[in-house]
Amino acid sequence: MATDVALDEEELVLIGDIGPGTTDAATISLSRGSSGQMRVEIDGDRCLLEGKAVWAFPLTLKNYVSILDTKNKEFCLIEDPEALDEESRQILYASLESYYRVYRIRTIRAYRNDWRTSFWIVETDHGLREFVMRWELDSVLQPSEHEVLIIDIDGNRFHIPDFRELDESSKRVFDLIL
Amino acid sequence: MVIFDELPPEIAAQWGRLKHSQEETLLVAMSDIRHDGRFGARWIVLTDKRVVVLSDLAPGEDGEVSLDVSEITDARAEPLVGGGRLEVKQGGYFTPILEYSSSLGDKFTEVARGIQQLAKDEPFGVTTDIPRARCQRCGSLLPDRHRNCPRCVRKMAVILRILSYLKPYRALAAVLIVATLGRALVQLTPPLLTRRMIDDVLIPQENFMLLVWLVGGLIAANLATGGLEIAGGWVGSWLSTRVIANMRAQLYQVLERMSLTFHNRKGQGTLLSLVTRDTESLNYFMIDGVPYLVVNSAMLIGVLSIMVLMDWQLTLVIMLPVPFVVMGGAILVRRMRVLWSRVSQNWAMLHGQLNESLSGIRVAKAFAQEDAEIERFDRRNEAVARATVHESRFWDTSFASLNFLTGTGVFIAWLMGGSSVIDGSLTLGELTAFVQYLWMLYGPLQWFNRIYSWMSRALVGADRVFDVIDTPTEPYAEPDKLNVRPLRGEVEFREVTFGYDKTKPVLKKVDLHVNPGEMIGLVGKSGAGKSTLAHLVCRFYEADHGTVLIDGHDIRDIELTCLRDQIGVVLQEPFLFSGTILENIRYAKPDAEVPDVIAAARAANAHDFIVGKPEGYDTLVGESGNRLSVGEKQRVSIARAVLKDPGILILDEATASVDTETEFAIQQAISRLIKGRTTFAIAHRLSTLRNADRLVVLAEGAVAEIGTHDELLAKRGIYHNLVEMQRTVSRLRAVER
Repeated sequence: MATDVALDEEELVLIGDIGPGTTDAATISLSRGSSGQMRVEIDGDRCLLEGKAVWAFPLTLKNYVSILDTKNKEFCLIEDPEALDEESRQILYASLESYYRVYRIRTIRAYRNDWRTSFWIVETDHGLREFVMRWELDSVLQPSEHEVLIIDIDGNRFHIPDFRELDESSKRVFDLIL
Repeated sequence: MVIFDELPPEIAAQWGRLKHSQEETLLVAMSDIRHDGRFGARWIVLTDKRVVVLSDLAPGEDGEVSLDVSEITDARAEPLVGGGRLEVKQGGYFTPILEYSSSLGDKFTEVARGIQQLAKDEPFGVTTDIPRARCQRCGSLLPDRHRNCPRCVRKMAVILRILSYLKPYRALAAVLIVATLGRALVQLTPPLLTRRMIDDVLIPQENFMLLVWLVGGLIAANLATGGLEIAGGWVGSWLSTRVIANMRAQLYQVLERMSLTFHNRKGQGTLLSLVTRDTESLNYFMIDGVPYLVVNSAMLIGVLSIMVLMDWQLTLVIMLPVPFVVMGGAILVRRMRVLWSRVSQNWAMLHGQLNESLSGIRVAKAFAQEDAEIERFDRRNEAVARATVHESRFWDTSFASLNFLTGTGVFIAWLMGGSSVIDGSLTLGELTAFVQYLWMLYGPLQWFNRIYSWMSRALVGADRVFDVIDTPTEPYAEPDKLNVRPLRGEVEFREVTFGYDKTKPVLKKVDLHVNPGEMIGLVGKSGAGKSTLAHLVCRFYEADHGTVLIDGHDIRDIELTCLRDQIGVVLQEPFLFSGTILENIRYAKPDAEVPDVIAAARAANAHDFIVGKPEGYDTLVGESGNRLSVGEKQRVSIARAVLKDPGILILDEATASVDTETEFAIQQAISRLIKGRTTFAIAHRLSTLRNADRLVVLAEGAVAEIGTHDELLAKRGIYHNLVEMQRTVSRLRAVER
């Protein structure tokens, strides 16, 4: 029979007490420096002269944004970027956009599979691209049921938000590979 | 001038207009992302005075850049997720000037280095030895940057090279050829015999003796086919296995003698796959694929010749479905390849999942996650089942369709041939023989595509094997090299620069002189270059710039075996080979006398624990020595180094993975071992370096401080800070206890 054991609460460090360490978006202000770099100020007190924004969960939760300094050390973590003021929000999203190069596949022009390697020619939102993908555990990711992220042998990323919305011949490729 | 990519004519003309008369072009490279972020070409030209970015867009839309080198203080290739950005520093901040996809990261690292050199007024020099994304011959994308283009594999050259391994077995190869062709020839006879049986015995209902002879002929053909198949199989499998074993042995010899740079670049997985999978797929192809190809090619020619001789018009008509059968086979094979690959991929994932779950079973139990693990396994298992069902269904349906297509030729033969029999221009025996030949013709045709694809894959594998066999190994047997024995142990680094990745130097212009018998403690943060410095003493790698001298000789002038014979290495993770403790201690000196082995073990504080084991020195250590504790393994590895009696000793974190008591025993052993030998000792625990004559503090690849423990403490620099930090950590640990 299980017995309840009383613990001295003062000795326990609870996760809830530590918290995610996010900074209240209302206290953060982003601006552009003279060379276009992203400046970050918290409460008009702490200031980062050159930072970059990255998603903490790039595939699943788009509300956690981490701001890093030039040595990739976190300056602050924002849980709700929508709560930033308009100008700060724009700067933050521009910084995120400039860090992630993910191309959205519109149609698959050609697909050839040669054992563990596949050769693709795709039409993306940034134009036509040819790439090679090696079948490995982390080369085709499915963040959600119909969403696919393909990572080629060089680390280039190709995104399909919903493969059901592709044309018939493109869809057939996913019938084969997924 | 460094030309990564040639300027196309219109861009060259544009550059011709923009180029100043006094400036010298130093580098030209192409990016694959345009100014507006779309895929497309953009060029960067570096001159001694400017950094210029060009594109073929109209002026005003091209984002053209022209920067004076004098205004730039630094440059970097900033990695992004899925791409990269070339940035230059002006006025204290980095400004982006060009973007590129991840495929061009290595190239633009070099471009950034070139700009850096110009900005800092250093001599210009970048490496062009960057793996290409596309095959320079056919222009297609390469699935592996370090391997040959699979499309451009010269199949005939590879086949001839494989055949060259048959030279020692010429007689057996001749037997194989005779057996294979003989089998094809014999298989052509039964339809001719049945033709005679029908036309000359069964229809006229006479000539029993002829029937006996013909049936005897059929039995003989059957026996001959079986006999030749057995003979061909025996000889073929022996020859193929022998050839592949010889190839594998040659490959392994080369791998053992390859530099560590080669091993780092290729990776363990690739090399394992090369020695096992690539050679094995070639073996299977030679045992099963080659005989199939030879027999069926010979059969095709034979069958077609006989059919044309029997009735060329009927042959022409029944050949009508052939293109469809061949095309159908090709389509089927192409699609099946995707499905086979998916099944194999799902199996690989299931294996991975199973391996991970079983290895981590303690963690799963500790976190009570058995159900979650079962669910993850079920998901992968289901995926395997789904992929297999899909593949099987497609295979069955397509196979039946292809058979129907093949059958149409037979229908035509019956219809056309039947009418010829009725009008007397063809006999029933001839028609029956025709139909039998038809099946012999269509069968192989369906599968030639598959065999061709199989052959292509096997030949690409063979090409990869030959590619490695042809790579130059480390220079072990150069006749004009110096044999310096014994080494006094004087080591000097003169302006040594080295990087595993040439674009990112780990050591930068290191100058260091070590006297014979001196103990040097190498200190610094992780990644500071301590182990790299030691590796250069062993010549595991060669300096990119500068010279390493041993006893006053350039290390490259000393015979490699002579050098390594006289260097002892004790690593943090001691590696023992499966075998006994005795064999492992004797690894460096197999002819060592037993008293010397015992003396080495005593010096390493290993003798007592060894004799305490039931099998003493004959104890089997298991795979990689995993039946011994880390401390025991370490002491055996020290004994191994002692027995070698080296002039130079390298201790790379030799006591990092053991408890305090074992560390004490190992330290005792080490202090005996280092006497009279030049020693490079690397340790994070600074207390273990207290015996060092001098300490060398490395920071960001350069020598930051040199001196004795007391001198460096008094200097209150990096070493002082490290010591203080470790004291604080020790105090905290003491409080925790």
